[in-house]
Amino acid sequence: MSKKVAIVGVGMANSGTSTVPSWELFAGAALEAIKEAEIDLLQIQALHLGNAYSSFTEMQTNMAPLVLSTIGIDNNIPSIRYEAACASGSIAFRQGYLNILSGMYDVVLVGGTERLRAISGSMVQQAMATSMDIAERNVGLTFAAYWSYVAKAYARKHHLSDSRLQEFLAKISIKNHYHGAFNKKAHFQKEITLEDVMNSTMVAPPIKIMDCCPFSDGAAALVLCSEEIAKGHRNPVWIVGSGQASGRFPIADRTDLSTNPAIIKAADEAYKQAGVGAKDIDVAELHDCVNIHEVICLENSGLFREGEGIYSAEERRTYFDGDVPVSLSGGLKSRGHPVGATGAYQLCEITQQLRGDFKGKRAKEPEIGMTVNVGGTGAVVTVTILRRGG
Amino acid sequence: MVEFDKLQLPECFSCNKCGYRSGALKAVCPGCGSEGMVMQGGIEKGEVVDFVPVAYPPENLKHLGEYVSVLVKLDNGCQIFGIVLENPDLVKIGTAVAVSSFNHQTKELFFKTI
Repeated sequence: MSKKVAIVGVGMANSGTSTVPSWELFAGAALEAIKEAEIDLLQIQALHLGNAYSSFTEMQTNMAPLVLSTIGIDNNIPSIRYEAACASGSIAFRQGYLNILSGMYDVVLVGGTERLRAISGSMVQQAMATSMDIAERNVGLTFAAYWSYVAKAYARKHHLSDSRLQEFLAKISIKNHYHGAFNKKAHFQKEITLEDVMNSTMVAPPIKIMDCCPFSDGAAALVLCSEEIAKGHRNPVWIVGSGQASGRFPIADRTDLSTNPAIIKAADEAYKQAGVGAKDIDVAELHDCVNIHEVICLENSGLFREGEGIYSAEERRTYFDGDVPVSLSGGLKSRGHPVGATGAYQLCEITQQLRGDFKGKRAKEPEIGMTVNVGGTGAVVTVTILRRGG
Repeated sequence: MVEFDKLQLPECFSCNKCGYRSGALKAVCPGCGSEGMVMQGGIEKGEVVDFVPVAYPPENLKHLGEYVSVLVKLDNGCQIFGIVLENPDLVKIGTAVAVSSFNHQTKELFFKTI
């Protein structure tokens, strides 16, 4: 691949509870990104939008042209919404990237948006459950139960007692809240203690409520452009690797729940394209929908060896000043999880880390960053590697 | 090829060429690519591979109250999920279970310890 694609503008709404619908949330983020990119609206040639649940939560489909209309883009450009559960935002980003890589377009607007908090939590849970196998849902499998199966499989494989497992996992939630406390766009901007996590309500043993991320409203947007257009930009960040993979959809078909081959495959693909390895990653945003999944992402992306990711926060290695800084936004646990937008938030945050203008805890002069965004019960995975411009 | 409208419960499918097994219907065997996946209905016993007590049932299962989600390996090697409504203390890894009932309307599949 000889063509290069750059991120020249990013924009993020505050993650949390929104008073406006998801298309208005996205319009705000998009205008921020467009302004930063210093482009005219008429230069945008396509919109790729991630959104998972507006069909259920806002009774609104056909979101992409609605978003164009809300932004005020009225020149008949193509637009499309992508639904890939929690990975919708990064899938939309990847399609925009491929548009430019193919030579079809030079300037594309991408991102994701979601509004989950205008309806009851049980309704949101029902909507999110549709991202799992309907046959397995009917026989009692829930997201919380799934993550419990994953945590138990991991503990058995690596000989961890329940109490040790729970404490090490709690340290990951504490680390992410520590970072999120410095991020003014985060859903929960406060630190938590070990007691907060350990004494929180048990949902599905060993998973407690404070092991899990919240449902959030939010939107994030990025302007992507070709090398020719990016040449005139003062601070481009380059997309140097983009991997995507699918995992087995029925959970009962998986042989080892403590690992996700789809993350391994997507990461391998991204590393090969970028010409780098896990040791070259200076900062990462990972998919900690439940803290055990940060462990799986750490290990399957190669940042930690199998069986060692569980100790990452306990040893402070994944803190902003550690050797593998992870989720300095606060991650899904603290920044929040506006499902269809989460992958786009991660990409905006890593872009800002690489540019050195992330408003929160920063890694020390990072050159290469990575995002791992995972949809549903691990069935959709994207891994993206970005490099600081120069 | 399995006929979709003639499924027996618990659903279990195996490849008659390579022996691949799944609780989910597939048009082509992921193991060897053959179209020889056949249904093996009527396998109603197995053992618990893992289990999770669910304290907060989802909306569609609220009428059950608290239950135990079980991953069961049937006697033919096929793995499927199900629900146990007994005391969670009775369910362990390796516990022998058998299908107790199936709700055709809601598709809920229940196991009991044996």
